[in-house]
Amino acid sequence: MVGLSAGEKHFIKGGIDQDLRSDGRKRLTYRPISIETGVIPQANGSARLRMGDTDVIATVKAEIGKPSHLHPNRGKVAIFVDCSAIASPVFEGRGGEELSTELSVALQRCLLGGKSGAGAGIDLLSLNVMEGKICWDLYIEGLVINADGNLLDALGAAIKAALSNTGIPKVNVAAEFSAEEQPEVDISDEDFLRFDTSSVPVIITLTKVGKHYIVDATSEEESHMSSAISVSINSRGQICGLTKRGGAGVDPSVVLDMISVAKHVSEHFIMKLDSEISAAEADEAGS
Amino acid sequence: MGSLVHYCSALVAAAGSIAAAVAALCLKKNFLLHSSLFFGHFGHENFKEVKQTTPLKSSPLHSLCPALLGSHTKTERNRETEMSSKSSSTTTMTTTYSPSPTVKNRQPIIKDVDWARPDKRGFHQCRPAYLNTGTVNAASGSAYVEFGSTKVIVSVFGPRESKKASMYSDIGRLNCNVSYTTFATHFRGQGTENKEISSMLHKALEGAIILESFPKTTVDVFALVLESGGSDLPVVISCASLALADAGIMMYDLVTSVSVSCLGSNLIIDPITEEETYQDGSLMITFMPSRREVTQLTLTGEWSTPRIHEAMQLCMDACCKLGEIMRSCLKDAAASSES
Amino acid sequence: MDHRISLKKETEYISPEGLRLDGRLPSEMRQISAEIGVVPNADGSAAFEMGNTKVIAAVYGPRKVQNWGQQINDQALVRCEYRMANFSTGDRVRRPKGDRRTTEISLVIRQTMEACIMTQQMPRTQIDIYVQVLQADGGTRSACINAATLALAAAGIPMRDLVTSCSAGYLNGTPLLDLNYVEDSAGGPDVTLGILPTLDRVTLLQADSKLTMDAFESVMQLATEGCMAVAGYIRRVLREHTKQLELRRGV
Repeated sequence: MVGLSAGEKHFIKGGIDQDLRSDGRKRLTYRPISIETGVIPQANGSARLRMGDTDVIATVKAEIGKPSHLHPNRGKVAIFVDCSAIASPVFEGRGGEELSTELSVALQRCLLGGKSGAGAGIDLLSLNVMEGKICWDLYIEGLVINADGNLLDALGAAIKAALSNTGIPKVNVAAEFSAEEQPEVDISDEDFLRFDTSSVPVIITLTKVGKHYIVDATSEEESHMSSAISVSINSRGQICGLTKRGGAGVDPSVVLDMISVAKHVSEHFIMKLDSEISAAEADEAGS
Repeated sequence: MGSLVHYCSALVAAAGSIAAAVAALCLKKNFLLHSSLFFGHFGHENFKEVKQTTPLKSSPLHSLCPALLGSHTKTERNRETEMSSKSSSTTTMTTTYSPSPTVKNRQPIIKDVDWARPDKRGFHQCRPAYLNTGTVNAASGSAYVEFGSTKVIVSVFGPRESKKASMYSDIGRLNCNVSYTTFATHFRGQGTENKEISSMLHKALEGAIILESFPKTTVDVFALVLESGGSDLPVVISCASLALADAGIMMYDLVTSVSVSCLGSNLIIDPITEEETYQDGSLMITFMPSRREVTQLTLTGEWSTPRIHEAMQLCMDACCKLGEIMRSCLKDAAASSES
Repeated sequence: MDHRISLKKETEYISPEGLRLDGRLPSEMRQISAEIGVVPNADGSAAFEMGNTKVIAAVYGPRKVQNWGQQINDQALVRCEYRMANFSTGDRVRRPKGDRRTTEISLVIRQTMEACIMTQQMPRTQIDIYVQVLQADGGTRSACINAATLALAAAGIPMRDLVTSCSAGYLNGTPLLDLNYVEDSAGGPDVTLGILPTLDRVTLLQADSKLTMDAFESVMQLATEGCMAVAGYIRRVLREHTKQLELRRGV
């Protein structure tokens, strides 16, 4: 995406080798994060997250749905990402679809856990309203406003913020109904259930440049990468998903090393993110 | 014609002792290679004898309708014998179609140690595989791979002129496209392109192909999943790398891919659809065995670091063995075309 | 959502006190706000809000023409893409890209902006205008044009004049300024007007449903006033932005 000259590339690489990146950060430092919640009032929950120049919006919409017959006591969650053309002309028309799919798949892998639901960041059982009949369908949607690298981490964090901003209406199910019919539901306008986001993992992307790993790479640095690994880690330090990006092969031991570095970084990042989210929530409540 | 490699690998997880035996019986010019590789469970069970095979008179039929070879729900052991008997009687065989009842039995999620996999395999045992190259004549290279009931055909076209050539590029382009047939799954599907798998295939292969060797041009990889029986993506990836090799595209190494599922406390390799449905987590690795490099790695579910290590080791061992088999398949194909 | 459906039947859009459903006077506009420079990657960008309608526009260019065949030798090529976010409307619909409505609005915005850009000054170049709707609550067309004007101005693209736009309608025998979604979906006449405020020209006029000539004049009058008000606000925002730029450069 970014056209860099050989000299610029050399400069960026040299900086990373010396643990001083071109914007003054260290290898394992994030850019400043700012979060704003409740930006889209029409959604059940929303958040806008800026990480340096990267700017994303995540929204959560809850709709009443029917659970699948395979998991009658669980709700459903779907994640979609859209790369807006305003972020870059290459996303025009169908141009953004490839990246959108890649990001959606990676987020699904990182946040939704295994097929049986183990390790999911979002507790699907809590979305159950009535077994086999009614559940909540959560539609999580991300929109990229400005892309300056590290979209996956930003989207993951924005989704976490949007989820903690989400209020799911309380539902009263009509008492009598026949076995075949869908029971009538009454969705409350006032009572909302807050979402527990303590188990929602964060995504840490480590980009390998030369021998070193950096977090939160800008698009300039990303154009330089040979490979990157996105690890999703929850607050208990368990790995909930992993995606490798970039085609170049890496040694298996490097992968394991990167995972352990990501784990270390995640501890700080989760703390920082949580405090930012609660600050944003307080801000929203105050205004 | 095609070489038939039948393998069945069981992996040694902890001990790491690799008891491998490749036995091949080459029969006549139009040979049929039928080897089984068994690796002992944790090192104490010895590998199996190689089943003898009779020369195959009409191998064209054999390779034309390879799907016939895949029996429906037979267990692997039955299948094995069946295959060797079948090879002698292929010419006269009049198969009557008896639909195997596909009962959707809901399997309880088993957490304890001893339970049998639906196809009676060991936890660390791959499904029997059949690999064949040169199945599509129109393509510059092609491969057909069968892992149990997962059947995939991949054809490679190119290097040829880029259709979407908008800009000059001093490296080649790789274009991957994976689609499912309408009858690939239990539910009649749409038969459309699967974007997710396509992009995964692209990412798995691009690191292994020497793109510099065909500047300004495109290599198209079209994969068609004929039957989906679980672990589709790893099979597609391995098959695609075989097809690329068959097309003579320069690669650093063959790309092999294997996935493991985590069911309760067990790690099971090469899961079938049923197991994938109930899995708690999965790990898929694409690996270049000779270079010992991981080109792609995905993981779902909750894992601890030692467990990732264990699963990766398991996958990599399987990948190495699969790599050997793919290599021998290519060698045989080359040898048969020379003679 | 439910109350909206029931409104469609027989509804008073204006209370006996002369107030609209959201408490506005018939000739009152919704709260507008604009921000310049929301997309750092773009050459010029702006967010524009009219009540609950929220759009972002980004301008890339003038730059090299990407598609050779489209190059125009004596003027710039202006392109526009309008997109609605999936979450922008009340009901979640995943609409395919490039449906008719989207294509139409893209075309309307492109033609409107092209008319005021001095395209002859930048031959053999391309200017891309991308508009993203974050929230749709009526009047997205107008909001998009206003945002695009700001973004073009922020990108420093030479223009004859600003284009500002506002919509007006006619319900219950009263001309209404700046319709929101509920009023818009009532099925009454809806006039979207785009003007060049300094040159005093009309560049865009779209109307649907039928309207008597007399009523049309009053609606048109109201819409023109709305456009003028938007123009005043946009000028203020641009001046403020320029001042800040001056400050930053230390002039």
